[in-house]
Amino acid sequence: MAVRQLYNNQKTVHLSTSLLGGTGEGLSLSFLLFILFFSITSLAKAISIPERPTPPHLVNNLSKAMPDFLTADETARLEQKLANFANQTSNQIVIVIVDDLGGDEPWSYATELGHKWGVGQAKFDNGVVILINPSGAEGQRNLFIAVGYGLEGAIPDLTTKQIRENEMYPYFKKGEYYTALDKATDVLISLAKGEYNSDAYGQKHKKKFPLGLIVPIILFILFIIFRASKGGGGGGGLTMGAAGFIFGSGFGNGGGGGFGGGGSSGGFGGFGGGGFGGGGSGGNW
Amino acid sequence: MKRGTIILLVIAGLFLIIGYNGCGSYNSMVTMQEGVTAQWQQVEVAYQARMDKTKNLFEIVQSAADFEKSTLTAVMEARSKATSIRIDPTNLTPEKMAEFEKAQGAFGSSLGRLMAVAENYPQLQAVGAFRDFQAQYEGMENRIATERRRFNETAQEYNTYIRRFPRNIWAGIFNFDKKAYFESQQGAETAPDIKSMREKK
Repeated sequence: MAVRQLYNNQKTVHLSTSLLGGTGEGLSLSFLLFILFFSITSLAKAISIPERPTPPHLVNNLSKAMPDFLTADETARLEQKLANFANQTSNQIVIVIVDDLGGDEPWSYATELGHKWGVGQAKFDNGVVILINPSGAEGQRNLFIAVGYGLEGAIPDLTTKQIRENEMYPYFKKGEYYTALDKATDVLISLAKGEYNSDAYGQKHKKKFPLGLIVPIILFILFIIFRASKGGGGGGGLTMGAAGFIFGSGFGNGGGGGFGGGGSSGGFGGFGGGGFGGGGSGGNW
Repeated sequence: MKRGTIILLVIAGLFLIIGYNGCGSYNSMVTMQEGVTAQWQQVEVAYQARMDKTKNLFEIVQSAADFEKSTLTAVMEARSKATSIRIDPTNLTPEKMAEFEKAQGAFGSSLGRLMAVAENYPQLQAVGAFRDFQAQYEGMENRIATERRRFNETAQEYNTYIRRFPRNIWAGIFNFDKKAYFESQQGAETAPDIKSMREKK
């Protein structure tokens, strides 16, 4: 934090010297006041990252412009899901919704917030921050998924990109914020738990066959099998297996939603001091 | 008690207090200096990751037909120059750091240029390995920027500590030098541009 101020101070100094150079000798009092004001505001900007919430929450809507980004019920459901996950595995996923980033880049804001709040455990650095800035016109709203040091292996940058594109943007665009966050956290939870790895997730979404295409493909395969069996060759079983595989993976996508929560009803205990080093990715929608 | 003994006791007491203060300061300075060294290593890790991840980049780019040779050679040269500069983390002189930063900065900005130029090559965009690299590129730059910022934070904390009275005296006696800072970003400035270019598509 201290260094941010340093950086900003430097920027201010550069700016003011260039301004001075530009105006020559006209150094009025009001101009000095302007510089003073400017440096104060830039200092204020430097401390724009909000304080850690007390009591600690995992779902934090700090937006004044969009207090209904999530309804109270949706917030409670997400909070419960993430709190259960945190209590069971010590991994902490935090959702933060803000109005503006104080001139900061989304990645920097999310990383610093995670680091400052201490999302995840100090020992494992196993935190994730989902930062959303929903204000602004379409295409200018920010989303960043920051991943703590310890989870960078389980959740690579590329995977966070896929999560944004597959699970979040399509629903964000329709205004279904809860669905997006629910789906994204489901994937993040599975990845952090190691239930499936990032490669498998990437593969699953790499080429989404339109369902319409699957039928002709199967017909084509069946056609080949017929040809092959007419020719008297073996290997039909293998092709049949492949057909089954394609069929299975094609339609398997839909399942697996299930019901979360249930179980323990303990709330979130608090942040553990995890560190963030700039992992993750983000973009606009 | 004689007057002489009292004076002697007072002097002995003063020495004890000063010695105690000196030990405490010395130990804190050692801890903080170690913190700076450790953070420097984090910086190096982030830079090294960029080195490692760009290793295959050249093959990927070259495979995609007629990419501007000059841009590619510039990156390759800057990279090999940056690889050659190593710093002993226990001996972080401002000159060494500036040298390191210059080499890495040149590599970073040439890489940034390559990534910007690559936007105009549809053949390259069609290569999966390149798209994967693109997605990682921002993360690499972000990690470097983060670790640099943290380094400056730790160095500033340490510098403030050793320069405060009376610790500055102890720092002088035990040779604790002020640490240099990273200059404001050069290489990383190219990253946001590319990001915005890509997001527009």
